Amino acid sequence: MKKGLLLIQFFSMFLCLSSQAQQANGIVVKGTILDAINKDQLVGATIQIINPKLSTSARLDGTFSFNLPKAGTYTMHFHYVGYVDKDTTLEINSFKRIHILLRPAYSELKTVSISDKQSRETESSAKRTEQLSANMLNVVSAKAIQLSPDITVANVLQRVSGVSVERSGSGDGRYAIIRGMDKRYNYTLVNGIKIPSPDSKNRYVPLDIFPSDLVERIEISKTLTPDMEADAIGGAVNMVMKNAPERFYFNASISTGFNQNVADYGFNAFPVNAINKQSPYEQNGAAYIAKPADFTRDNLNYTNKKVTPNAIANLSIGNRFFDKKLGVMLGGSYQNTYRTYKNIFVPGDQYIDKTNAVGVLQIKHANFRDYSTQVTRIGLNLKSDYRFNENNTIGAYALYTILDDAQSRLTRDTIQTGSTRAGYGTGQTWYYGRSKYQHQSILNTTLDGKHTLMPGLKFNWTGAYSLAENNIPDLAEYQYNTGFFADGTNPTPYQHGNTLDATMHRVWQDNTDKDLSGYANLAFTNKLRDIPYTITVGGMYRDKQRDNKYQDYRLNTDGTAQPWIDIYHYSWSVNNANGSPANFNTYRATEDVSAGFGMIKFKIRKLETVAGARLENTSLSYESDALETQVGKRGSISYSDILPSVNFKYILNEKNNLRLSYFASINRPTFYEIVPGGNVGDEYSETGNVLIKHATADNFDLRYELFPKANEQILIGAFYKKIYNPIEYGFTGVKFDTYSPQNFGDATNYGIEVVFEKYMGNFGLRANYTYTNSSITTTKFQTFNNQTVAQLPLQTRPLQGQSANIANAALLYKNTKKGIDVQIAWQFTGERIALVSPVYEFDQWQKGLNTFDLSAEKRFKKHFAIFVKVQNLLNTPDEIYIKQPTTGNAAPVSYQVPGSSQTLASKSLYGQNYQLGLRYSLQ
Amino acid sequence: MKKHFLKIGLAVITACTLFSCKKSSNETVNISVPLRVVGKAISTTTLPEKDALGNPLPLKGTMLAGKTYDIMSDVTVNSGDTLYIQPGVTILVHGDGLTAASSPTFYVNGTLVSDGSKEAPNTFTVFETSTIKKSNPTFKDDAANDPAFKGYWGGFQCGPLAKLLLLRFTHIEYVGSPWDVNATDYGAKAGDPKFGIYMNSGTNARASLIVEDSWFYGSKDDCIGKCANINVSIMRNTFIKTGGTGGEGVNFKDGVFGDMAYNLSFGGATNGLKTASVAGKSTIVNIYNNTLVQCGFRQTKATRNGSINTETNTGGFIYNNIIVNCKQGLRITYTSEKGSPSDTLNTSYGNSLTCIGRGTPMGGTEQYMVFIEPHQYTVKKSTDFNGYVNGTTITTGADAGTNIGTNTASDSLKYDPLFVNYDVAANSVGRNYRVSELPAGYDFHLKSNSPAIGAGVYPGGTGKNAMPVKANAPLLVQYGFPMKVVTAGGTFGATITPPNKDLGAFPTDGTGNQHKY
Repeated sequence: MKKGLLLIQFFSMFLCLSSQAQQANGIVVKGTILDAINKDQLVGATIQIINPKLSTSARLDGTFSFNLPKAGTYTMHFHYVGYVDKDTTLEINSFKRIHILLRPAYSELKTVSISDKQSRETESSAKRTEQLSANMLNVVSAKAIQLSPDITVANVLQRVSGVSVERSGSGDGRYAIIRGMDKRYNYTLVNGIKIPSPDSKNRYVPLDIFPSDLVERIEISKTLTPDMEADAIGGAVNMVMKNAPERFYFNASISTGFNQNVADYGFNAFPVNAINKQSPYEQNGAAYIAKPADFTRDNLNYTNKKVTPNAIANLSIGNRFFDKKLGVMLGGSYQNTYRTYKNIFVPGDQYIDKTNAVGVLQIKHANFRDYSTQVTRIGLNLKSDYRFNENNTIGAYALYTILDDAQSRLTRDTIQTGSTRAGYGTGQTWYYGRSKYQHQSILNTTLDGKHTLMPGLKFNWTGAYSLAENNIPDLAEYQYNTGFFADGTNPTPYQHGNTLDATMHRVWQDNTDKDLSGYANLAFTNKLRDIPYTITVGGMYRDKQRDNKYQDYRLNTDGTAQPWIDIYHYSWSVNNANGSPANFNTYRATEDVSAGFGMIKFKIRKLETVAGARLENTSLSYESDALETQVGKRGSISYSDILPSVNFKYILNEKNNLRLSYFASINRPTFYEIVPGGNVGDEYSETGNVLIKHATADNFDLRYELFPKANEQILIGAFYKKIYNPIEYGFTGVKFDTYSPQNFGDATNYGIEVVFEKYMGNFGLRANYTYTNSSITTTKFQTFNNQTVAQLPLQTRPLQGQSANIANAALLYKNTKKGIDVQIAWQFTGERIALVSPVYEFDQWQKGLNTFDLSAEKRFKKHFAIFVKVQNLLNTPDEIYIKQPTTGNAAPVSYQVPGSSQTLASKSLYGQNYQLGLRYSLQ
Repeated sequence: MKKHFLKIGLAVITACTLFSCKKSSNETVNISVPLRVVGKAISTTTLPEKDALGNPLPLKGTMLAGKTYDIMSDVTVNSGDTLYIQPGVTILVHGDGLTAASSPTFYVNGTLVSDGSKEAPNTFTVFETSTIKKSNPTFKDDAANDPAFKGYWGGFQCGPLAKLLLLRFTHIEYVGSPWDVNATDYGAKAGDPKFGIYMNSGTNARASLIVEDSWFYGSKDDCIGKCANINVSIMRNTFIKTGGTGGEGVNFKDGVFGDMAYNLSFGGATNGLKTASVAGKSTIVNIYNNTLVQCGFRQTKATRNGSINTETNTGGFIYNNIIVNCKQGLRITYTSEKGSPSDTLNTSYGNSLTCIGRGTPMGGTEQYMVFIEPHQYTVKKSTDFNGYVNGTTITTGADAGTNIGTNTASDSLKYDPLFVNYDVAANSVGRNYRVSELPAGYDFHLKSNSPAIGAGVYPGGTGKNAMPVKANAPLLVQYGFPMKVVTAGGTFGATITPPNKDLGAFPTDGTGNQHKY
């Protein structure tokens, strides 16, 4: 609460600053300054009065005002970057209201259409794109990104209506969830091209791999048109990387900061360079018999460091050369951040039978974990284009991005049942230390061309090569047990010595995804009796190849009861000295997607229609190193989907649109979800499912849009989706201890969406809210009197990952004159199912989450700015519950509220992140 | 060939005659059984044979008496096929236990019958070399170096289509090599040690596992491990040195029905005999007339039992057992680290003896020994012999039915079963209780003044000796004691011995375990 108060004080301080700027005496002149063509407000445009020398700048809503000492004739000078300056002389005798229109500088050139040339980084441009788009689109501009407290694209995304994010193990937002639908239902594009995920498990690209500073804007499409790839049921995220500017552009920033938890608890570091990047099998060949000394120890030795400041640097530089024909934009980004957090993990997978009653929940283990994560991101971005002439442009793009994540996890696990646990402070205890280092990278190179073959006939093509790599070498966790418990000989608990547990696994995982894709579209525009239309046909083909490698060594203690001293006193032998020479997880897989579409766009009076169909054919095959005698050593799956869609936009007037759309789409399983290998997951054992089906969906959307001013909007939408065979994760196996993808049945999702943006003076408010009702009905496991009930009960629940309520709001303050920007952002993600349990009403629910972030910037000396960003202002706990009491436990369970009707399964406190930086920009 | 058979036949007759001479009071008639040949005789002694491409051929037919076979790589018995092993066959498995590829395994998807006899037992053991050493009596308590725990080969892994695995008078030694490739097909993970016998019919028709009169010596983990969805009869066997740093002699999981009786378990790492099912599914195994000695001390984790243990949703009749110098006596589990409560409704137990020779539960560095672990369901029944004093039985809450009693350590020698040759007191002190090698000459038959004599339940018994009945336990009523779930009699059936009036595996009437040490 104290923190909340502080927040208010901080904000009101800025309020005072702004009111001081407005002294009320003399004659007042008020005005607005707008783009002459599209009437966008030119926020930050400077307005100068020559004599006496006065100056101000346009506020967020495009307005400005002067207090003039006396009546008279004044000369005013208006300036805005990229626009033609304007001078006006006015006689002012009393209160006056003026409207100024500036013409964009490029409108003098006639070679390129406006929509291509306008600086797309601005917020108003973003809104314009939304309004003009044929489908339902939300756009976040670079200005909004720069202004927000976010350092990665994933964090930015959660500011968009209906978008929330799922955090990674390090607490960073990693995946986008559109309209509350699980991350698997959307895809990510870079400059319109789909790129492979380095993650072996998912198709979705981890968005925290992209530094937000490299991005010009982010487009989120919630409906699909036939020219878009069809595997999105929630929506598609397109990151448009920074384009070459019209003139020299330079932007650099450097910042530092820290995580509150690191300051409070320090950082448990292990030497990453001590990790063997290759397994003994890879190093020495298949015949090699591994020895105990082949496995390193230093990587399991932890040192608590006190001071670990973050370092973040960005640079982007661009210009046009050769008579502005060649444009180049180069971007580089480096982030090195440290975080620690505490996590309570109570696996709620224990169901115990009852005599003459249904079974109940029992908690066996309660883990308290200390995570320390160092994340290093490096991003390089090169975008260039060459304009041969007004009809032909070729572009080349390269992106290389690396994410290194070194995480230590120290766990204390206390048993919650049995005679060894008499109450708090007693019971058998295990200690674990795990070191995980993950290296991910994405390389994407794209070549594209846009050609006007003849008036009305346009051809564009794209060829892309992408390489995504993921490497988790030597994932290792040691384990020893101890505790304060009675052992049957004496009722008084006593301290048992630290004793090593028998086994430790050392696992090497490595995968490479290679995508080759080509796209070609032909568009013909003409008129039929005054009705303009465009017919587009096109096709795409992508060949995706994965090479997945897996090695698992199991080390055993040598048979004696070894006391734990440290990792250097751990004597082990190698149980499978040749590693895993042939296994399901070492596999090669291919997925070929070919698609063709036809689409027509036409406008009859105020009704704009885009209609068409897309055919997508998917063919997937894999072959693993498993034995010939094993079921599922190799497999292939192919399917075709015909996906019609229609988008209507009814333009009520210049400021109002009404949209209606239908599209069919699909959701594909990943290689990981199909290949039947067992894996060691972070929390549970995991396995693929060869029988998994791809999901298909019918999607209906209705949206009303009001654009009162160029960067203001009100959107109200409704949607309905029927999803057949959605893929969700649940537990399988007789003991429900294995986590695997499954088709549970068909689901429906419907909801409404409201977006509101409004600017008044120096203040702005952006808010959005999405309500989604999602339901799927499936049978669940239950027992009565120790036997599985004959008729399994049906349970209706929301889809996994689907929140009923999602809301975002941001309050902005912008004082252009003083060069101050402040933003407070709030995000609310309503409760949602994190894990689907096979047991009736045992699903694990993530509690509704409120997070607050703050950013502020002050510009000085024209080109400089200092900025402050604070993430997770209130240190909101991320909690997961099972809506069942711990009836199966006799003694109180650790970390639980006594008598509570629900059970805490997980709780993480990520701590505040502070960032302070300096930016230099020239444009 | 025929001559050879004749020789064996003669030997069998001679042996039987000699044996029958011993007992003068009862007339015993033994008539030689003709050697059985199922399918084709297997005359090649280096197996498996390979096809033109070098792929191993599946094995079926009959392995011949008197022959020694060398197993060089994995052997598969295909679904529908039978591999029959005549008495007196020695099978040497060329394995090193280092990798799955260099440690052959028998994969059984059909039927495998090792038809050893008392006179001509069969043997499955490792092929000994200068580097692949067998264990010897000097390895008493040295899990780190004892070759018994090296797991040189992969045992018998029975897939979901297997019909029958029958081992009769068969020695199984040095099992437990690592899994790799196909671990998940058998409910394991790469790197896990293989169990000596694993069998799981899954959702297919239930297979039968019949193991009788056999000797198990040395296994890295469970000896008969995590079998599920099968019918069993595990009778009159000896389990020695089972489990290196953990592992049970016999460990049955969900959906197992049958009997375990007259087994001797000596020096097992954790439990001698264990059952544990899953939620909503029953396992009912009768556990009677077993003798368990010096078990449970190589398992360093707490919460694991150390003799006979029933967990998650399992039950059965548990009677007539003798437990001596083990970490704990019988446990009808309310909770353990991994398990959930036993099916107490379908559990009936009593008439067992538990003895701790030491007189103190723990001294110095000695590991503890208790009669019954408190806070579990087990109580001392009036027919039991042990030093546990029943305490309060909890009546409400999650742990209703559990008992908080105490162990009277000084009571220990009071319950000495008086084995013919085994000093209960001497073997319980120092580190003697950790010895897992059974010294030659030990004899677990009962001296004439043993309290175990006449203390058991048995067919025809009355009063405390009456066969137990639990009318309100539907599964006990349904399956009976002993069970009739596997085929009984004949070469392909089990020889089921009912409970005896004496406790333990070696009753005085000689009907129990036939092994000598």
